[in-house]
Amino acid sequence: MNPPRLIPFEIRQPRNEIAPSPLSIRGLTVAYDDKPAVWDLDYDAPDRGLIAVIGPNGAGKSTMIKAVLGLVPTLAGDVRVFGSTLRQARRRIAYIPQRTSVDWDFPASAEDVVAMGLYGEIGWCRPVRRRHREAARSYLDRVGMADFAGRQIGQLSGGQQQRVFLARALAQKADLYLMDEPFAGVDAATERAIVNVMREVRDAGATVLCVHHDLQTVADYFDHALILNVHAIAHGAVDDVLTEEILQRAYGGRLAETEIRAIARSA
Amino acid sequence: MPGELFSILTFQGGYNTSVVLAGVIALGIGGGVIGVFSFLRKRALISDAISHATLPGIAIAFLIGIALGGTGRNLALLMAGAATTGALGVLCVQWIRDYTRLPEDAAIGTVLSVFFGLGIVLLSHIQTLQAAGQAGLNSFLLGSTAALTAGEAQLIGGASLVAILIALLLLKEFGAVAFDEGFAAAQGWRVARIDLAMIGLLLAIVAIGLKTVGLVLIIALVIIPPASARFWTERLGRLVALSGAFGGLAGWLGGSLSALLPDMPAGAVIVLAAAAIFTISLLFAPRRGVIAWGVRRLRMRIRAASVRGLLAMADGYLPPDGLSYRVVRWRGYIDGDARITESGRTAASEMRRQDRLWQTYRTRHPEAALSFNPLTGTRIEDVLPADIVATLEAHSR
Repeated sequence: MNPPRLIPFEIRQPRNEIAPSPLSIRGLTVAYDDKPAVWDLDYDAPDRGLIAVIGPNGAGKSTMIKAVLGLVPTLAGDVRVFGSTLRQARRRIAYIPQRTSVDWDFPASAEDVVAMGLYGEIGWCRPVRRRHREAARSYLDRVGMADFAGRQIGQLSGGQQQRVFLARALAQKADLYLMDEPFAGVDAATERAIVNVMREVRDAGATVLCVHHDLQTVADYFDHALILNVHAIAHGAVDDVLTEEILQRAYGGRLAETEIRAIARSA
Repeated sequence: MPGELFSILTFQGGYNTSVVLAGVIALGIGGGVIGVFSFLRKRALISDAISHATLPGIAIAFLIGIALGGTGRNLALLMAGAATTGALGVLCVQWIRDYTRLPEDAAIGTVLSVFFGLGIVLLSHIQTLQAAGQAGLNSFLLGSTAALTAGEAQLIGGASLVAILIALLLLKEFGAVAFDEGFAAAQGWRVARIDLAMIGLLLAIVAIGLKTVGLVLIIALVIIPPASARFWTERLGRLVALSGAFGGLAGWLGGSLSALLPDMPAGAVIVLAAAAIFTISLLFAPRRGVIAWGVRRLRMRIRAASVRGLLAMADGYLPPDGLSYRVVRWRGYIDGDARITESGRTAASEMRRQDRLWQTYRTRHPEAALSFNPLTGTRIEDVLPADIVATLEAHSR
């Protein structure tokens, strides 16, 4: 077993000249008022990876995703997506916000929300046409929601709402997917649908970075992990980073010893 | 008088009245369409800050008009003044919200009252000037259609149409930002600019509506129509259309009435017409309306009471409470002497069986248990395939 790569590196990794990393972060620092949320983060996402971003509550996982997308102001840092600036690479990124971040009592059907994933392609001030609606329905079908296309989104269960968000991200036909806790509070069918879709897009060549809370399933669902607790604690192949030592450093007293040992053994 | 009202409603009340009425209808449609977006963005109150912040602008524009040697009653000049301080008010609200920890409602309340107070001070000053036309300024507070000329009404109508067209062009963008700001921003959209466009349209509607509806009540024109329309539909496109229609209807009815009653402030009459539409929507809308909601709840209570009563009877007791007793009595499951009837016996044992099957189902499939409402008497055969029911039947013995 290779020893885990701990951050900060002795030498910051040089950029790969041939195929730039899907997501390359240097020195990312974010603070809310005077409270640091993410501190001097360096990270290069592996190509075609399914990457779990894990860490205790308040570790800055969501903040990191939002900072990468430019949704929260950063104090310092540089983010490259496939070697380009965020601005140039916007159309290659799909973002799934936390489900609870929106008001689902909005006058829209599941199909309407999925069609939002096509707005970049449709363009400003142009209407959503029939072919866009058909495309939206095909994405709903891929997440097992074909029967709910016309349903008002507020009448869907939490898991179904999450799958609508997933279908909207698929509609963006992205190369990099950033997901903020898609597994939070969903049913078993939705969990399976999300895992299947993540594997599909990875096999089609995309990279998925996913904030994840459930340490038990990290090893089953993901290839790589980035362990965060304001600072980056470790990153690498799941089997290499889910060790007792690293989990202890990331979670400290917030996880029982027995739990840490069980997770480390299962990985 | 009813005949007169009818002729005004049908645009036969004379040229000037008809043009004014058309202008008010266009204003109502515009307010309804544009109001949808701030309503969905949960920033409906921002229009109240805008409208109250217009008052100092009106007063200053009037003073400038007099200084330039006019009467000060040039509507275009007054609207420009109104729009200027209205925009200033919005900027103050945004600034307070973004750079302090105060929430937006506190910022709105502060800005609204301060600007309005300043406007009232200026207005009182103008009244001491004995300047020509100063009496007309009061109509900006509560509105008047009587004082509206045909030219002014055309200006209002034209500006409304332009605002509506812009709003329809940006329908998709406004909708996406209102639903999921983070997603819109992640796509690289400048959310702040889209919000600014929305507020710009609101400002336009407030400015052109000031003289007709008055600044105190114009907020009603951008809030009540979308709030009423929301009761009837779950789709954005229909919401916009319906809200525009309700606004136009309020303008038509209210405008006609106020033409008939020139002593009544037009704004108040139009708002009352809008309120009638709102009340009807709130009560009678088929799914979201209060009556439909009450009926659904009552039905649910009765079904639950029936389940409760029958399960008690299956165990050999009488229904445990007044409602369940009345329900099973009314369905003929017990007779007048509180004896269980033949049909009651059948129903009770069937309910016991359903309950047993649902319990088995819940233990075997805890993840799906909430998808159905077993407590309300849903028959398991109606929602689950026969083979699953058969398996449950075998396991529940």
